[in-house]
Amino acid sequence: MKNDVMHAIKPTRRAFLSGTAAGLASLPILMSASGRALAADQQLVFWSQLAGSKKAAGEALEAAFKTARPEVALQSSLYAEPSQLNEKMLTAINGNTGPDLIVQHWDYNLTYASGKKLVELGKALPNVKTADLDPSLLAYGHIDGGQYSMPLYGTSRGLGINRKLISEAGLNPDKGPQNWAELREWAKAVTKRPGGGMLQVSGIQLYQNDLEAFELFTLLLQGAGGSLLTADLSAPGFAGPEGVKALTFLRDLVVTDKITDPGFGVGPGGMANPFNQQRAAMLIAGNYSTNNALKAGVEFDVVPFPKESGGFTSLVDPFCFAVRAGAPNQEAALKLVEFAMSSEQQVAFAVASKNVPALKSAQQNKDVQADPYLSKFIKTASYAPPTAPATPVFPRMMTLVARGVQEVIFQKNTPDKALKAAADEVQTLLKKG
Amino acid sequence: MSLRNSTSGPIKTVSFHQNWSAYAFLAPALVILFLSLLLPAVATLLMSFTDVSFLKPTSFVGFDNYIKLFNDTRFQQAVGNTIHYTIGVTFPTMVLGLLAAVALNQKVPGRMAFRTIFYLPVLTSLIAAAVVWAYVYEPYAGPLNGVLTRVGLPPQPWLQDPSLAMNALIIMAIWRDFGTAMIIYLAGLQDIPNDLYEAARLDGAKGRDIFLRITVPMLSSVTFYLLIILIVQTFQVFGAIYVMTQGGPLGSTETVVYQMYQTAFGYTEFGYSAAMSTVLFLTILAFSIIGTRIMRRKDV
Repeated sequence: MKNDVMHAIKPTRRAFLSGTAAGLASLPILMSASGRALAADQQLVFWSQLAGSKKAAGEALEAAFKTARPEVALQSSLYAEPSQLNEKMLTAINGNTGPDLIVQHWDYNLTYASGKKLVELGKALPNVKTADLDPSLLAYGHIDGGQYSMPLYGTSRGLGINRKLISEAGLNPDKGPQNWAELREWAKAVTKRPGGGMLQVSGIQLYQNDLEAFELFTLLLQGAGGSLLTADLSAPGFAGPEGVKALTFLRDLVVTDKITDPGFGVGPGGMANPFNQQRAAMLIAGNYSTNNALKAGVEFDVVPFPKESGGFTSLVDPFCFAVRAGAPNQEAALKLVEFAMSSEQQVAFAVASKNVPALKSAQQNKDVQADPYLSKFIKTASYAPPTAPATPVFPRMMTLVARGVQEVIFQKNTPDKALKAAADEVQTLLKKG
Repeated sequence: MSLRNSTSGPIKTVSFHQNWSAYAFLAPALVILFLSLLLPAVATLLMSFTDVSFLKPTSFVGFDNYIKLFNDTRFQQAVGNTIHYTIGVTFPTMVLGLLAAVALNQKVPGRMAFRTIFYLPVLTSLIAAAVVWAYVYEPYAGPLNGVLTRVGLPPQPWLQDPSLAMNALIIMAIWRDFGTAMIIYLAGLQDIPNDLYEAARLDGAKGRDIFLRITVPMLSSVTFYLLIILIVQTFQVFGAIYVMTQGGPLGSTETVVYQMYQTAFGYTEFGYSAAMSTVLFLTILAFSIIGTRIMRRKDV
C-alpha cells in the first residue's frame, strides 16, 4: 500500500524543484495578502518617538484622545530616537505597510514627503488654521508647495548658563551677553585653565555631535546676518562673508582665546556632558537641556543667543505629525492630529513635556508661561527666523557643514576653504534633489 | 578526510527519488537559508546597480554607484579607517591571546580563574561595554586619565581627538576579543603532542627556542584560522562606533559598515549603500578564500 502511494506520487528531481519554486513564488503573495489584511483592520496605527521627557505628555495625549474619540481604536508604538523610528519607517514604506500616523523629527518627514509618501495636510486638516501656528515651526514641514507635516511641538535654542559659575566670574546672569563681543568676554571670563594647562571649566561647551556643531554654526551665521540656504532653497548661502565671519569667530574662541579644547563635550551626552558636570559654564541649550541640568544640580538658566552687533537669534526644531499616503485609516489619523492641535491639548502637552507648543495662543497661555524655563524657551523661539532649510538634502548638508566646522576647530582647514568645500557639495546635492 | 578514509567499498550514488523524503525534510531549512541568506545577498547586489531609495522611483544606474564609490573621499577615509582598525585589533589580539594561552597552559595557581576573567569580556554585551569604556575614556572625570595624571602624565582626549579616537576604540576591541583568541590558542596548545617538547628538551632546547620553533609553528593552523576570523569580524565593526563616537571626530572613526548604515538610513541612498556592502562582501570573501586555501595547503 505504502509503495503504491509512493509510486503514485512519482517524486522526481524536476517535480521537487518545481514544487519548491512554486512554493517560494507563492510566499510573497501570501505574505503580502496577510500584510494587507492586517493593515486593513480598523485600528489607528500610530508610531512616535514621544519618549523620555515627552513620554508622560504623549501618554496623556493618547489617553485624552481615546476618551474623546472612543470609536477610534488607537494602537501606538514608541521609539526612543528619531533615527530608530526612521529605520522602521523606511522598511515599512518599502514593504507597503507601516503606520497611519507618525510623530517624527521634521527632517525625516521631509525625506518621506519628497518621495510622495505623505499626505498633504494643508488641505486635509481644514479645521487647523495654519495662521494660528508658529510660522517658524510650521516652515519645517513645508515642501514642494505643500504642508506635509504638522508640528506638535518644538524645541528652541538659547544660551544655557550655569548661574553659579557666571556669578563667580563677576558677571550678571540675569542679563546675558548682548552681542558677540560680550559673549566672547563672558566665555573668557568663566574659562578656568590653571596655569594655562588643563581645562577645568570650559567657557562654552561647543558641541557634542555633528548636529550640535551644525546648530552652533547656524546660530552664529544668523547672528552675522547670513542664512544656510538662499530664500528659494536652491543654493547654499552659508559660505559667504557672514559664514566666514561666524566660523572665524568660533575658531578664535577655541584657538586664540582657548575657551575650550577642540572636541570638548563630544561624547554620549546626557548627564555625562561637561555642562551637567559643571565643567562648562555655558552651552547651546534646548528645552531638552533643562531636566538633566536640574537633575545634575546645575543652577541652570537660559538667555537668548546674541547676534554679532546686538539683538538675538535662535533656531527651532519641531517634531511633527505626518500621515502616510495610502494608509488605511487616514481619517482617524487626521482626527488625532486635529485633536492634538486643539488649544487644550497643546497647553497640556507643553506643560507636561516642557516643549514649545506649535499653537501661538498656547505659547502665551498662563499655565505654559508659569513654567520658568518653558517660558524662556518660548521667548527664545520668538527670535528664530520664520524660514527653514526645508529640503530633503538637509541630513547630508548638516553632516557636510558640521564636518567643515570641525575641520576649522581642529585647525585642519581655514574657515573660507572649509565652507567653500561644503557649499560645493551641498550645491551638487541640491541640484540633484 | 577521515570520513573518506573510513568508507569501505565504492560509494553508491543514490537516485533522487530514492531519497526524496530526505530532501523533503531538508526543504524547510533550505527555504529559510534561501530567504535569509541568499535572497538578501542577491538583492543587495542587484540594488547596487540602482538608485533605490524606497521613496522615489528606482532607476538602473549601471556601475555609477561603484564609480562614485571609488571617487568618494569619505568612502576612502572609511576604508582607511577600517584597515587601521582591522590591523590594530587583529595582530595585538592574536599576540596577547597567544601569550595568555601559553601562560595559562602551564600549571599555575588560579589558572582557571584567570581563564574565566580573560574570557569574561567576550560574554559582555557590546553596547554595555561600550558605554562603560566611554566613561573610562572620559577626558576629565574618567579613570584612565585619572591614572595618567597620578603618574605625572598629561590627560588625553581619547575619543575627542581625531588622532586618538580610533586607537581608543582599538584598545577596547582588543580587551574584548583577546579572550576568544586565548581560548582558541589554548585548544590548539593542548593538541600539540608532548613528545615534541620532550625531544626538544633532550636536544638542549631552551624555553624561547621551544616556543618559537615548536609552539608557534604547531599553532600555525590555529593562527590562520584566528587571523581570518578576526579580519572578517573587524571589517564589520559597527556597534562600538555607533555608541561611542558615531564616526567622529572629523570622520576619524567612520568605518565602512558605519558609513553604509549612515548612507542607507541617514541619507536614504540604499543603492549606493548596497554598492559599499558589495565591495565589503567581496573583500571579506577574498580574505576567506585566501585563508581557506592556505589552511588547505597546510592540510588542516
